[in-house]
Amino acid sequence: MAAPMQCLTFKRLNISILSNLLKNVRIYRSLSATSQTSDTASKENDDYDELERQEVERRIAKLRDVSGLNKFEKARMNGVMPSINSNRKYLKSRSFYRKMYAAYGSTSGVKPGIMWPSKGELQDLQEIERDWTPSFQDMVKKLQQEKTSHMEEERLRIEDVQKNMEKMPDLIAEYKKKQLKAAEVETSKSEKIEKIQEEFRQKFGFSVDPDSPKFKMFRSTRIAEDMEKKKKEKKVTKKAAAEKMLQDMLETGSGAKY
Amino acid sequence: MASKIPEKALHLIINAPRVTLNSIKPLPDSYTLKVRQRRSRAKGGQSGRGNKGQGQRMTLPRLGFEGNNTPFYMQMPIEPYYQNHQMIDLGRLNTEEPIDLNTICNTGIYKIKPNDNEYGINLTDEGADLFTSRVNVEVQWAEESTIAAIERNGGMITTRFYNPECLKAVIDTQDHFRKGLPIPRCPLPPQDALEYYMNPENRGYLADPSKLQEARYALAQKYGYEAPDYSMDRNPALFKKMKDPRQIFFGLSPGWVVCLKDKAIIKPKDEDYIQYYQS
Repeated sequence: MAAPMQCLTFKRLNISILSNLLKNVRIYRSLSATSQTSDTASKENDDYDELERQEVERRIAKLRDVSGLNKFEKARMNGVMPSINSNRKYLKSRSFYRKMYAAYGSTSGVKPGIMWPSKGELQDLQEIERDWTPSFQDMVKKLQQEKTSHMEEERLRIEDVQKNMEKMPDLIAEYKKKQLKAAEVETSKSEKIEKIQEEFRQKFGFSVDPDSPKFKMFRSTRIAEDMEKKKKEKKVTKKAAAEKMLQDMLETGSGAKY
Repeated sequence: MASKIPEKALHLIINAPRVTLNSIKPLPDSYTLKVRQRRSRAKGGQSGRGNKGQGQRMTLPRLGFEGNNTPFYMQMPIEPYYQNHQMIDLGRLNTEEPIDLNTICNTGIYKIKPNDNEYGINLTDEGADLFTSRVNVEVQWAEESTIAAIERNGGMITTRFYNPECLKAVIDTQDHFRKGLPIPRCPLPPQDALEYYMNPENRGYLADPSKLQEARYALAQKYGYEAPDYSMDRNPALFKKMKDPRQIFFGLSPGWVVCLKDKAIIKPKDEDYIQYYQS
């Protein structure tokens, strides 16, 4: 901390010395001016005084400025457009000059025309507007068309539904018939099982659960028996029918003309 | 054998716990235990901090840390709606001027992100029964109940569309002017949003003005209040301030450039440019 403090005090001292010097010089000049009589000499002296004063003030300002900023940043801080000596691409782009105008205004020296699109770009924009952007009227027309087409679709759908609804009573009746049939099949099945259960009870003297393996066994044997019986019956009926047919043929003949 | 049962019972009763001076506990906070934490390890102790590690070096993870998982307290999204609810009450918005997206964003507490496909404000009816301000407000989307709440108090509401480019200019006007770009021309809403903004029931900015008054009357009948009459308002000029569908700022036309440094407006003079920006 000590070193910068010293530096500052030195600078302040320097400033005070310079200002004192300036004051002394002025007093001396004023005193000497009174003694001099010629106007031309005093004028020359005044000019010299002015130049000297400016020089001193410039030096004071230089001493006062302790920001440590470079030229570019100092200009930017004071609202003056900094001079740029760089070949970077961005620093020569339009967007950069636009930003410069926005930041420093008319003092930037940039022509404000840069802020709008160029003639060629405007033509492109106009072409996009003319050929590719739908107008308000077009959009409204399209909206109405969409609405009408949607309404038409809805109307057709409702008509279709109404047409199908006419078939509804028949379909319901068919469905109910189907259900009744299914219920009948179910009842006949259960009746069959009950019948076999009853047979089981009569045979063995006790009732069983229809899911028990004992009963299942009984039922399978019972069904096989039934099947065999049916087969036999069928055979017998078939034989009888064949015999009857033969009998008829013998009695009536083949029927052929000879 | 049976004679021992009453004896046992008596014994149990005699030895059962009962309220005595011994069994009473002191009240909580009647006294505090002095924690004797050793601060120095000069005599070889570890000061109750255990052996090595985070505990001893005071580098324990923060409270609620779950070891590389997102902590539970950070899993809940923040919903700071309470700020936005008090804009008028706290004087952030001036009700004697038209309120639009620009004025709301200038309060600095409402943020819109056009890059996240946000298109503006959806004004909801939360607290509609308590709402008492008379405002001329412009939002991007509003429900029927919201419209009723505003018009019940003699206010006006319009819904309007901004495309992302205009939205960016409206949200951060200074940033737009710093880029040195002219004020953009607001395009029409896309086809799928056109119906909403043309509907007078939504107070759309493209609705037929003659049908708007009818819609206001119909809504007043539905919700049971008197339809607003803007000519009888204490400040009828408030409701006469209107924006063109192409315009995004009050008093500034599209195509103008605003220089903040010079405090000047620069207007194009070329006919082509004027035609493009005004059409």
